[in-house]
Amino acid sequence: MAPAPKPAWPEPESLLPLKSVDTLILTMLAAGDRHGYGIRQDVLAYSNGQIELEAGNLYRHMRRLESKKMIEPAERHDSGDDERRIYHRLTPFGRRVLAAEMLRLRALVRLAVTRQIIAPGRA
Amino acid sequence: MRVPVVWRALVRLMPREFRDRYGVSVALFHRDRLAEAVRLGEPAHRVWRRAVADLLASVAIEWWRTAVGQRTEISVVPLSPRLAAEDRMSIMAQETAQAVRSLRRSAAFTAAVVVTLALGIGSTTAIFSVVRSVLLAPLALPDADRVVEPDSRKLGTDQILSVTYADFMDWRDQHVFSQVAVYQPTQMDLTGPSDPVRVQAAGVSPQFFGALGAPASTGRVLQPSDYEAGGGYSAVISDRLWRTQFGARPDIVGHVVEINAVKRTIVGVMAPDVRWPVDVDLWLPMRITNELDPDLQRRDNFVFSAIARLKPGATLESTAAAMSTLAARVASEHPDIRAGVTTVPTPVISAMLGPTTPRALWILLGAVSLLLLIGCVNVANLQLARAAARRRELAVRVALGASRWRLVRQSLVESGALGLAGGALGVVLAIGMIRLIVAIAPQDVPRIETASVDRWALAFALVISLGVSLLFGLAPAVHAVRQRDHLAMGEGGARTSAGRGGARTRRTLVAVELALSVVLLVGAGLAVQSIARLRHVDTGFDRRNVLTASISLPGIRYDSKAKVVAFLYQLRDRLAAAPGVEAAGIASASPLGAGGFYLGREMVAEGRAPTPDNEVPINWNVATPGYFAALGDPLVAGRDFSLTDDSAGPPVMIVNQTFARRMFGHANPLGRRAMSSRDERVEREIIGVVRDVKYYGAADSSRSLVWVPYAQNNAWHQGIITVRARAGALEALPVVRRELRALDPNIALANVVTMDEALARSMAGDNLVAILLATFATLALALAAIGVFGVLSYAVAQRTREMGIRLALGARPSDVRRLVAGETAPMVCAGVAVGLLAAFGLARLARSMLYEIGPNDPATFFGVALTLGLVAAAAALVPARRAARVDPVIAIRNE
Repeated sequence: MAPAPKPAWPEPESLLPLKSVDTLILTMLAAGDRHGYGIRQDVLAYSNGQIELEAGNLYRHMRRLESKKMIEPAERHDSGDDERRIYHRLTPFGRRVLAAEMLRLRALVRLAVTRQIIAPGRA
Repeated sequence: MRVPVVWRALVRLMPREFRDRYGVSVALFHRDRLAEAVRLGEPAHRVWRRAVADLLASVAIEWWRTAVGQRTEISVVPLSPRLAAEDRMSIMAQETAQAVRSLRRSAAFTAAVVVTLALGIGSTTAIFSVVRSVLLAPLALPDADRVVEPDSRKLGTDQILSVTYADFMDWRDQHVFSQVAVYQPTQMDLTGPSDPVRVQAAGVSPQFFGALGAPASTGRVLQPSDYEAGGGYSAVISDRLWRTQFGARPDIVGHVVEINAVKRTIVGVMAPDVRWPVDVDLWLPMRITNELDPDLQRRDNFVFSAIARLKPGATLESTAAAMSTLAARVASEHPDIRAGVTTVPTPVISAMLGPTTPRALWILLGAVSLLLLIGCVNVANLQLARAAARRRELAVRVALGASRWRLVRQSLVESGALGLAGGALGVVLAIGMIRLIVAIAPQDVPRIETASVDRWALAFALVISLGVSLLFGLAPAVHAVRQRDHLAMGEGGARTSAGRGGARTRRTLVAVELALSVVLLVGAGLAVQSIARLRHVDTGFDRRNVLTASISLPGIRYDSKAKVVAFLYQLRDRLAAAPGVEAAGIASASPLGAGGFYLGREMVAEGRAPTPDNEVPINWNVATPGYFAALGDPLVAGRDFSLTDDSAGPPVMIVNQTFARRMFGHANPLGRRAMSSRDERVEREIIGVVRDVKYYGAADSSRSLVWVPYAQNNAWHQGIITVRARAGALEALPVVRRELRALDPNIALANVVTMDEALARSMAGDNLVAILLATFATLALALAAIGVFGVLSYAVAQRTREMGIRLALGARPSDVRRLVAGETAPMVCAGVAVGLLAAFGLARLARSMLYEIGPNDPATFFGVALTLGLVAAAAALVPARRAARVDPVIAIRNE
């Protein structure tokens, strides 16, 4: 049996810049597998309640991220939860895209510091 | 906690692909969200508002993506035809997307179809809008269907008389209606903020506004105190008058104006849309001081119009029965004057529309429907031709297991997309067409100015767009199924077997199209010939350079016959002597329906008993000397009136030829006498006979007319100045104004119209119908030609190889041409024959609208058949020649 051809991944940079919702979803999933509602709660907590994702919008973006192979369904974690709901996790490709996006953002932040729009952070 | 049903229903709106994957998650997400909202104290309505808005937006975006977006993965449709209900939506979406894509690929086909449909749907929508606003829209009156106009009818004729005051008193006193009133339209001069203007006015009896049910928009309507003798004089004005003459001033109530030299207080302004039962600008109380006045008691004094509101619980039928019983009693009490006369209530909307307008509009709607059908047939044919070209696509789909239903649906979805596109463009066309129709429509078509593309028209356009989609989508759908069966049975390779059935269908469709075109062409042919004859009608007098304008002398200043006659005769003399004027006269009414006042009377010849048998009904007119000269001297015998035909001289009259013939047969009428048998009862000598003039309009039939001199009639205060100018008719207008102002500056000049205009106005309705029918018929002819051309071109293209073989085997080009022509002939003959038969049956509906041409005019029918035959032959010529020019070598090699 011939080996399956290796899927040709696009360069992560070709997908940049990410939409801010995509970035948020990927970042939250980076911390561990989540279902949609979990992502919403994480985003709420991170943004101090400023960003409220609703179901349609959230799953629309997840559908897109999934079709681009940046996230994928994950196995069940805690059996106590409703077994019909899907958990998602970041794919290695998704992690690379997210990293590329973050590098892009960091460059942007540095530029802002240089231009004295914001003060340098401690990190 | 369960997921709310509403939410689950909303989730179902998502495209299937999305829902399968995330539907449950989206549902559970919302459940969690609601649960947490309770914990955090977030109001549930906020959760719902945000979530639903968000979800609906996502639904729209996802569907859009499904429909037009690039699909990344190939969706495999299961071979099993049994699908769950929710799956059908997503299949429909796929099919719509597929249809849109495939239509975008064949731009020429799509453009042809959309334009054809737009023409049909646009025309139909435009005429429908006019029909709705003129015929179907309810009147802006409370319970308008309970408002009626009572009138009198002569049994056995179509003659409609007004009502008598005595009959009105019966209805009122015996409570036939809940409210009933009489009124008399008239014209009055309003002197107020500006120069005197002539306005349409109506004197109305007390219950008029109650019967109408219309309230005043400012102030009040007339009330009983306005009718009391010794009370002040009041008036109600129209919204139009309030705006044009009084600048819509808010303090109008209580304002005093002078109306026919009487000071009146304006007590109210009516709402803008009160135009019934008469379109007037001024309502005045009709004060009847003595109802026992013999003139009011007379049972044959039909000079009032009436309006009434049905009693609660009464129907039109029960009221008609009550009126008819009363009329029968009157007829038995006054057999000499009321035998054969009954009274009937007519719903105000029917009375307002009259018989001609509805008939004309329904005929037009029928005509555009035919055009729309023809368009559909053409589109069906185009689709069939295209379907044949897509055999390969079809074969692939059948091979993949597409079901019959799936094929039918695909075809219908494509038709639906075309239909909607055509409908959208059609609505745009309709907007323009309605503007055009309103601009050229006759002025007397009520409410036509309200026609527009409103929500009714839009709904109509949508329904017919989808309806015709079904109609023209069906043939291709059936064809697709038939092809499927052929393919399924392994006959896909056979070149001709499947094509045969399709060709037959296409030819049948073209025959149908030709038949429909024949009907339209016959209708248009008759209408156009009718209007052509009207245009060349002999009006009985010389219309060139004749100007008319009406005046009305205020009774309060011209309070005697001597004053009226002195003024009119003096005005006439001044006009006749003015520079640029060839002749001038004044008469109470003008020919060609240009307006004025006349009486319907009965006359009997001298020496005969005044019995109904001997009576001749006539129109009684009054004129000054010189009037007939102003009309271009239509006198055929005798003389005009002279100044000596006054109250001292012997009573005289001038009659027209129809009167002379009806009264005296072929005997010389000059010097004979006749009298108005029921009222004036004065024997008048006939001193002149004039040619028959068209009295009510160009299409008027001959009627008996009588003129008497103003000096020998009781005082009629109104007159129509008639001036024949040396140059153009309107050149005389300043002269008329100057001479009138010189004699009395407080008299308004109204209804200025040239005789040519009057003639055109009287034909405007027929003209509009003829123009529209001719336009529709031309379009139909063009579509039919395209249909013939398309079918034959396609057939020839399909049979290139056959033609090549024939030519190779020795057929001459002329044989091939004959072969193609031979296929055309049966189709054209069948279509034309069926069409002629249908037209023969339908044309009778238009009989009453035709002037001097029979509905089954053989020349028209023959002409239409010939025209269609020639057009079809011309359309067949190009494909036939192409077939004959086929190069056998190339044709055979190509296969």
